This record gives sequence, C-alpha cells and structure tokens, in this order.
Amino acid sequence: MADLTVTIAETATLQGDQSISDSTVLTLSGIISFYHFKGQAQGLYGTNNPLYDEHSTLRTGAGDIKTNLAYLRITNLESDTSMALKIMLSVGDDMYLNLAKNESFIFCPNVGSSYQCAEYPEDGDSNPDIDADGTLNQIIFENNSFDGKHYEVYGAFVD
Amino acid sequence: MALTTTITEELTLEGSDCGASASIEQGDVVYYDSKIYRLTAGAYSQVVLYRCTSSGSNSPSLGIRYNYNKVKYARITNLDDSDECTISIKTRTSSSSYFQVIIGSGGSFIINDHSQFMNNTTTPSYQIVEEVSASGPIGSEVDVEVFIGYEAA
Repeated sequence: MADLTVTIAETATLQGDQSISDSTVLTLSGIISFYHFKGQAQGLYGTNNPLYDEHSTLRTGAGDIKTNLAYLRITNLESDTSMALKIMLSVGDDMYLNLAKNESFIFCPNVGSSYQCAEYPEDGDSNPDIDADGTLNQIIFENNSFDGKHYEVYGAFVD
Repeated sequence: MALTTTITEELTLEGSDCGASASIEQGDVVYYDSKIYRLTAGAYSQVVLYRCTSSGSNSPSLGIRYNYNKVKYARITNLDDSDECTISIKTRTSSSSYFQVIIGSGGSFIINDHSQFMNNTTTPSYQIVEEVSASGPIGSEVDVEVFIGYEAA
C-alpha cells in the first residue's frame, strides 16, 4: 500500500507583473492500484462503455474487479472544445458536468465525498432540500457528439 | 499575464512511478482573490455570488460578487482536518436546481467555465453559475479556501 499525494497548484503573473502562487495538497493513504490512460472517445456514451464503473478498475470488459475508488481525475485534453460528462449515482437524479477546454474533474470518495441532488425548494427556502447521498456508479460521456475527442483518466484505488 | 493550474498526482507502487499531472493555462486571467471562510455548522453560506443578467443583486453572506463571465477559475477547498463540507452550486435556470457535492477533509472542487456549467435536470443544458454556497456538517464549523482567478472588467 502507498500514499497518493495530489497537489493542485496555481501560479500566475497578473496585472502589474505581480506573481502569486497558491496550492493545496491532499494525501490519500492505502492505495493498492491505479489506472491512467489517455484516449480518444469512441462510443463511450453508453453504460456498457463507461469512463468509470464502480465494479471495475478497467475501462471495458474487465470482469468484475471490485475495488474502492479513492481518487479520480478526468481531463478534457481538447484545447478548443468542451465535453460533457454524465455522472450516474446510486440514488437520485444523474448529475451532469461540463469540462471546458483542458479542464479537469476530480473526485475523492475515499475521503468522504459523495454527490447529492437537490431541487430548488418550492417553499422558497434559501437552503436546498437535499436528497439522499448518492454514491458514484458510473461516469460516461453525455452523448455521442464527443466521439473523436481526447481525454485522460487517472484513478487510484484502495483495498 | 496568465494563470497556470497544475494538478499533480504522486504515487509509487511496488517501486514504480505511477504519477501523472494535468495543466491548464488561462492567459486572460489578470486578477485573483484567495480567501478563507468559516462555514456555519449545518447551514449554507454563500461563498461566491455571481452577477447574472437578471438576478444577483444581493451580496453573498460570506464572499463577494463577481461577473460570471469574467471568472475563469474557482477552487473551493475544504481545509478542515476531519469534517466534510457540502458545496452547492446553483445555476440560473427557469426551474432552478442545485449541483451538490460533499467534499471530504482536504478535498477540492474546481469550476472553470462559469457560463457552461450543467445541472442535474433530466435534459441537461449549459447553464450560468449563479452562486456557490457551502455548509459544514451539523455540529461542526468548517473552514474553506476560495481561490478565484478572473479577467479584467
């Protein structure tokens, strides 16, 4: 088992030539396996061809290697177009996430993250009414319009 | 002038380097804000409110207001060493809905394009981000960092 250290670092030269840097570091322990691939979307919008599936550490046809996702990053490698992901949950509505050009989506369920769906409250309450927590089942492209687009997936898993 | 954001994964398994990284550069970012807020336990506070075409006249409860189409990068990080927080992203739609994610200790959520966010409706479409709220769990206050990179007005 090993530690996965994830660093998000921002560096900038801004107006007036001022330089800034900021970063955040997350360490995840107990990592036993990982996958990392860069690919070109082709038919990855069906539930049989997910970018991520809770029952497999492999993308397609991998049997049922059940491990626990600790960290997931999906990056849009296209420099001029966005791509939309469909995040399928165990309960509630599916969630959708648009990745702008070169944007990354990161998710760390091993440190307690989960998705929730909430509709805008009809009673005008300023707080959303939260549905039950949904664990992550699958992530797929929203539709086939993203065929041919390049993407990267990095996932790490605990026992 | 540019903002470069790099996500780096460092991992060594059985002696093999299993790391990777992804980077994005946004040349039009000229300003930034970095703030730390203490979230109320069990109740949402607006940490970022965006100025939209027909709403957004109020000030957020904790943060400041931005033009949604000028903000190119927003990171919200849970700084607490044990408790989770919930981030709730409201988009501007005719039937408003929230995109919510629970962020564990040390975790982050990033939004780049605030004009093409998507929500959880059954027929998804690109939406403008209107506000980002966050809440600590019931019984615990949680600190979050909000880092915003944006264009000149």
